[in-house]
Amino acid sequence: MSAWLPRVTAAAGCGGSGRELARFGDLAALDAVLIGPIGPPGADDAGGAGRARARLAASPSGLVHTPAPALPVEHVVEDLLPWFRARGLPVVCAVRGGTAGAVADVLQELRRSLDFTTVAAVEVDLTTDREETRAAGVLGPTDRVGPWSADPQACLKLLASAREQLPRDLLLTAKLAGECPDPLATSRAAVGGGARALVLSGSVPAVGPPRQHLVGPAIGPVTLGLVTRIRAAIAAGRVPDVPLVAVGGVHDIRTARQARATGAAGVQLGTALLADPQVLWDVHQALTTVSPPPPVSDTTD
Amino acid sequence: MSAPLLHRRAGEVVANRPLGAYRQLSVVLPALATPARPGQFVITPPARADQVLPRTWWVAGERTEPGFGTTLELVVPDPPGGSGALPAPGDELLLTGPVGRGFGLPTTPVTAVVATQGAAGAAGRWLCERLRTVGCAVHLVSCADEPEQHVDLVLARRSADGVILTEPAGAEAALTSLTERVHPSVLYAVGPLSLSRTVAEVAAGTGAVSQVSGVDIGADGLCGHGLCGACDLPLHESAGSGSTVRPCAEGPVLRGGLVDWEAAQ
Repeated sequence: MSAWLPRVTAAAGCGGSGRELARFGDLAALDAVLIGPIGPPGADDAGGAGRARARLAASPSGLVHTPAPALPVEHVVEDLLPWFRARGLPVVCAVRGGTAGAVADVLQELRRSLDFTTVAAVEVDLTTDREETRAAGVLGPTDRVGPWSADPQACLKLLASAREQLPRDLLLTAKLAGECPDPLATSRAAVGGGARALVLSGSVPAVGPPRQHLVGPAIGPVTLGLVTRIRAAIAAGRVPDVPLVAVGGVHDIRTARQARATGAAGVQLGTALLADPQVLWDVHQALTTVSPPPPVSDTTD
Repeated sequence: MSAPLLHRRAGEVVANRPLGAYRQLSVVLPALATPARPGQFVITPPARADQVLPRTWWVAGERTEPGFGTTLELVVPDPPGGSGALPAPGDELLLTGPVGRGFGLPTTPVTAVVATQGAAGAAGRWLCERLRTVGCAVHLVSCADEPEQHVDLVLARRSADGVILTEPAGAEAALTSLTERVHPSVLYAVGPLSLSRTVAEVAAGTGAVSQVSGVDIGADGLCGHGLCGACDLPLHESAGSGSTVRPCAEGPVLRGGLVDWEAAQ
């Protein structure tokens, strides 16, 4: 596969709306800017009323966080995409939704935008909770039934319906994380549904209220383990050959090179940006100037 | 992108001295292009390698001398276990900032009320001084849980026309009685969101303008760069349904009347 893939972007939810990053460096120097997570209008993400803000709590070498609030798609279409298109910046849209219909609605809104040409890739989040319509006669319209990635068949359907909404040549990627019980099956299903790259996140479920995750340098080995596993499965022919993107625990040039050496074609930076947004440009520079990664001693050090 | 980019810069700590319950750091940086304002803050890397989130501190004063550089005064809580986590004089300190939109000063001399809480009191004191220099009459309301947690009361009494000390729970009553007495045209709040909310509500009740800090600088769980979304505040419906503001990036100083404080809780 030689699909275009941004080498470095912010992880979904860690780059603000993308525009905040422009205060710290020249966005045009990057391959693409990731904006998101983008949710359906009036998205109710935290199970409470309205858009709950993210909550972060420090933990040793890491961070426990609740899901980042979703950007409403109308805000993205009216405000953000024109801003990026006016500057000629390619954008990766990270999309999140509880049902395949919600994701398809978001993609349709994006697709209808006059500025859709600036969208270079779409990332579908499989780590978020899936909602299922209950049987008739039961009160309450939807039911949370765990993350998308726990059900490969649902992932396949979700990616297939997302693929339908998008132009054929647009890169569609799927993001799965450490809570995925069977990464191989989910990867296979995601690629079968139309994903042309996989974003592998090492973020793991954490204590506290549901849907909290541990991220940060602490989960670096989890991410590398996931990348190694999928890379091995690709070599064995059990997963179609697609490029991988590592996210989680990639926080400086050294860990980014380590992820590249492990088999990831691209990296996403998350909590590293919260500490110092300049890292995004440093890592980009390091990954672009050195085309073959220098000998990294061992992925386990 | 005509605005200068924010970069982390190395400053030299020239003093680290006790200030009541707090420590006052003086940091010398290369001269700033634009003078700092009260209400701005600095972001500095975490104290230890196993911490991820940076620290944020209010700027409590700034002095630029030609040919020498800018000296920033920072008043920070004394970390538990002595001042080991804070840099000693002579150390290098990496800083981003001063960042953010500071407090706006009135163009005509009016009566102003400044409410502060905790370590933000130093930024509030600096704001008082600035207000005095443009001719305003300033009343300071300092909130703290413990008597020694009021920042530098001696200087506060010099920089304000009246000083009222109160506990955080009594802030609303103190502000209400003060506004009834002095009829301020503008109320400022530097400190946690609870204080900002109180000041915004008191100002709304009297028809005065309020400028409040929209993010609790110095609190945990905050990136300060405007990237994490932990500081988002909802705006009133008149700004459009579901509009939010990100104080770290677009503030930290906000017009108190614009924020929907009910939904922010």
